[in-house]
Amino acid sequence: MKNKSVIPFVAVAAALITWAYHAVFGRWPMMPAAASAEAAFVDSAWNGLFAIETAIYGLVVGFILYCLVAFRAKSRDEQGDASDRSRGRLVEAGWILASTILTLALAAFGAKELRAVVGGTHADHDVEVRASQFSWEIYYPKYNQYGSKLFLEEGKRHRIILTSKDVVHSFWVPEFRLKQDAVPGKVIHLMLTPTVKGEYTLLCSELCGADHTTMTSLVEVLDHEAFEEQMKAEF
Amino acid sequence: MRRLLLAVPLVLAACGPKRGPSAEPLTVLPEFAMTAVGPDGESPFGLADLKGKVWIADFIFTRCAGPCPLMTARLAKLGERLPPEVSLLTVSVDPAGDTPGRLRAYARHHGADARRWVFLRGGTEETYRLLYAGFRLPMSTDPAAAPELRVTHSTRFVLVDRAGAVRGYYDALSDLENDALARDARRLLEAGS
Repeated sequence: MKNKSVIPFVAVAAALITWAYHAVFGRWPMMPAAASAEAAFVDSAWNGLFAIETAIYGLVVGFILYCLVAFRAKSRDEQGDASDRSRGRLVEAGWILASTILTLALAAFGAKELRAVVGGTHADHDVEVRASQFSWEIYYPKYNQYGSKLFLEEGKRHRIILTSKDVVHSFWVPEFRLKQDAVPGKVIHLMLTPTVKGEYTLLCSELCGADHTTMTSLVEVLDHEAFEEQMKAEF
Repeated sequence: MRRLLLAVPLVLAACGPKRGPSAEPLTVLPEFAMTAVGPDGESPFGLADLKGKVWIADFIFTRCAGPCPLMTARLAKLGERLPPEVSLLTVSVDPAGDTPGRLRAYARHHGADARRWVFLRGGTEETYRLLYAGFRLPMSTDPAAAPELRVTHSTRFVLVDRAGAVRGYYDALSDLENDALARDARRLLEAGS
């Protein structure tokens, strides 16, 4: 089992390993359900990378398995150090070239996706979010409403205007796939378009003191009517 | 082929993020009175000693069972990558546990160059004040916890300019952010700020 069988062996092993990974992570997803337009870009980048990485991993592990079987010592006399001293230029050049092309392609893909996530500056709603130990204050300038709960309108683009009153915090709603530091002395804009109605949790993802883990707030994504109604109601 | 390989890092560098140090000071450090622990003794250290140099600061305690040794190793690596004009500042967040002797041994263990790397300790209140009112980073102490778990603190590196103002926060445990910090520190040096 040498040379001629290497390609089919590695191909079958790589396919099986890749399939197993996708089956496991398809059954038990790594991330919560996506709920924003930005999440689609993040997830496509994540899934794309995952597909490429598992395929490469499958090929490498498949080749290692092949070597384990094909080059095993059959008797004690065969044991010891043996090495292949051929230059293997073609393999080396091919590996470097393929890695280079893959790296540049992924960098270009990442830049395109990042641009799509950050997007332009147009927003349907401005929402001021002020972080402080250990709570979130939300203000809607258009409606002159204050509260501790973050209401968002489904399908509309929001400009989250993020500030911090004391130490460094970080705005994170896992379902939106966006995480942004709130830095004292700085006003930071985060563009966000929720796409699925429902309740989520806003977390602080930067250690901000003893009660950091309690720094959460409820996020509610509403349809247009419910959002307008909420903005007129008492918070 | 060799030319192509040489071009790769250049292209990747060009694709990298353009973010620099914050154009405006994020916060200005207040006056403070701490003690610098050097290999040969201790000396008073305050805001005036910081001014005039670009600094990278971090916050650790010597008995830490968490990320502190890694942060210190990464700060040492940043020091190797950057010109000696960039100074390093390590602030102890466990003033009770980090005696001058322990801090000195810790610095020696990590190969700290005393000409550019300052290890600071102060009173508990002064340390809290410097972190909260100055660097705007949290710390909390649980006296009931085991010594190696006693203090909870931020794992950010902080870039401080020549005027004693914070110009950026960087995740100490992220390679990408360490690269960004090295680049921003160089920019501050070049800008003369």
